[in-house]
Amino acid sequence: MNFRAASLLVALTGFIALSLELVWTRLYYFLSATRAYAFATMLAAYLLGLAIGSLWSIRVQRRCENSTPAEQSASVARLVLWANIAGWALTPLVSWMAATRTWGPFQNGIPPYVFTYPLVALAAGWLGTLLPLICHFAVPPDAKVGSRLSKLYLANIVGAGAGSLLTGFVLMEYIPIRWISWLLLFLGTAIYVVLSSCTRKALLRGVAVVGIGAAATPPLYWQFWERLQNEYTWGKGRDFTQIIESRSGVITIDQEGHIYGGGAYDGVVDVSPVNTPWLVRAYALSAMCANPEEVLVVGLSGGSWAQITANNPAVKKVTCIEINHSYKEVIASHPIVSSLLQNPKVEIIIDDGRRWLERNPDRKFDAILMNTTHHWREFAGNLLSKEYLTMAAAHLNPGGVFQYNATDSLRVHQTALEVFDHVNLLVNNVVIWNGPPVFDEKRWRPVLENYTIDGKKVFDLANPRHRRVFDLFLALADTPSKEPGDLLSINDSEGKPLWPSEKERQQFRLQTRVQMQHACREGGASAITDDNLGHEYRWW
Amino acid sequence: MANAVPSGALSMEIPPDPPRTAIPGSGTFAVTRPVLYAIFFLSGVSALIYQLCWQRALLTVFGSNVESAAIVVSSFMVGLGIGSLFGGWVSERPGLPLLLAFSLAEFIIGTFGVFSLDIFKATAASVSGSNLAVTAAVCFLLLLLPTLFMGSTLPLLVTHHVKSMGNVGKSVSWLYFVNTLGAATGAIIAALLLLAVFGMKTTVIIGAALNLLAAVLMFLNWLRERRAS
Repeated sequence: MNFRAASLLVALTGFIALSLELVWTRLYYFLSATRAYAFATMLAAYLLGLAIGSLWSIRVQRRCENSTPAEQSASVARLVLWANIAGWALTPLVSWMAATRTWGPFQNGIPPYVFTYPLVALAAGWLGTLLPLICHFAVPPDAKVGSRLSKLYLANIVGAGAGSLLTGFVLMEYIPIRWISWLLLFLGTAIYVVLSSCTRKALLRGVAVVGIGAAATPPLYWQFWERLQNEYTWGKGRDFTQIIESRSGVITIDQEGHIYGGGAYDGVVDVSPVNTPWLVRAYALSAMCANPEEVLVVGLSGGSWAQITANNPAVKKVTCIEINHSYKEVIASHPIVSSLLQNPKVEIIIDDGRRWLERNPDRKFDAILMNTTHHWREFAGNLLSKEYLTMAAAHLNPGGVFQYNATDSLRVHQTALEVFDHVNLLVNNVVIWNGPPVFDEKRWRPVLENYTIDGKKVFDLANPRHRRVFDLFLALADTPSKEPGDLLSINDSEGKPLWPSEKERQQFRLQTRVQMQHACREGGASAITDDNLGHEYRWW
Repeated sequence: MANAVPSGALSMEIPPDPPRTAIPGSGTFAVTRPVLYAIFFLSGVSALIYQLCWQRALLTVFGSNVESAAIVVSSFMVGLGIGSLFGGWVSERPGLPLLLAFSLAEFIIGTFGVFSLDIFKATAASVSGSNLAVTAAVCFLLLLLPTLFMGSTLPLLVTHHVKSMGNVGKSVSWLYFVNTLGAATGAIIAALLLLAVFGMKTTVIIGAALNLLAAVLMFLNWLRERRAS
């Protein structure tokens, strides 16, 4: 095989291999709700496939021992075609396999993606045969073998690098994953046709593959993201209302307004505390901070917290840092939060929150709010570690408050306890004060009574439903140092218990440092650091 | 030859070593293929341990957004590519012992590995606040040394292997197989055991220890080969 042609070929197959790896990475990240070990194990399956394919190539080499260059090209062409068909088919196949979770026998707690790894290895296996085979055909075993091989290897890496940039950076921004897969199939098929010397048979076969691929894509990908995301509830009538694919990831929104980033719950598009009482965590700012003029919101998501904060009468400026630029699109498409984008008080910066804070050491805030994602997701440790918390808290003004979602992790509680003196737990949010802890019900009451968002009052106190939530919020000031059982005796203005259920009594309250310490000791929780990565790789 | 393996079966056994007489001018080979493969397997294990840990560490210091991820992945690729050319160039130097060169490469990777996380942290602190171009340049320079030597190992070993085997395809296939199998093993043990139990620093040290072990084993084999010739 001609060396230049071989170089181009390994570059193109490197491009396809890396692009497919990116597509599969997105698939497995989403399927696992962005768990770090799911990516690593998928990568292991991919590499295992490449390894086995490499060994399999010896068999192909033997078969082609005395063949002509044209026959050699035809052998490579067939492998390229099969590799691309397998690579294209894998993505929808995995999503359909994921749907088996809705059947009883498969609801046994084992993540469904585990069963799909052999498919990854199989698809990667075809790709793995190519590099050794092309080297065999293009590099003679003479004294220059090292340098020739290195050039082919370089071409393969250049192709892979181009795949990483073009597919990961450009294609994923503008084209849905289903059509990226099809484009890769198209490219692989084109290589097949050219390597087969554009014979009539190869052309017909190529047209058939590409045509069938295009026709099969819409039905194969029907409810694709729904199947991958919904563990046990996938089915007709559960279509997402919004799906945004971009280079930063995939955002989905269900019919109840719940937002999911990379397949993991990421908040709700709602600002009404009557519908969503847990929004108290955003409304409570004035109870905990005397003068929250300058606020930093790390992680914008659907904009609910930022919208509530920006409409707090005491707040003069809100700086929002969001890593995924597509959330602006989500906000723009929901009228209850869309005014955020025009609010002169609000500045939205697309950046990594940790990096932004490190780059802006002089920016100080009266409050830092982070409705942090699940503690077990990849990179969650970056916003929960001792090192980060110490750095972030250095941006607080005296009397400032730093509040973030612990998502019920005792290790997150323990980390805060080890780093700070003034720590409380508001519902599931750790609250840190740069000064003595305070939860001032008297200061908060008039703020809540007059709270308006886009000119509309949040609480209509003549409405019993609203009044009840209003009373529940203010009663939080009485909950520290109370045991959950004691909350049963606290009633609303109509004499009904504010905490009727055991679950609410356990969770919907304000807990002191001592109570947090007790729970952490009982649970044997250890702190999260940049080194131990918290829960990220804890698969058990 | 074409029918040496039964149809439908994958030949997993290592082919028997050829006689210890090499092609003219290339010396005598005392290193058996299983030993060579075992060493290259270790190299693959450590490479993926590094990739997972370094990627995580660099994305922590440079930001975990898609631009930073692209910079880190591209830096890996560029380094490996230059390393590949470097390995090819080294492999053509007459009289240069390839096994010793491989051993040295593993030693340098392992030594860098030991200090890598501290180097990343210190460098990141010094460029905090820089723009994307500076970040990309720094990331590339940080990864250049280890990836240069990582990329050089395949051409070095293939050249050595071809001298004993006389077949490029088989040499690449076997070496690529063991190295990639090692990489898959590295990804699994790092993700499912090392990172969760020991954390980043210890995991990277384990990766470095594997490099240094590979360096020592290859050095001993080089000595053996030199004595034999």
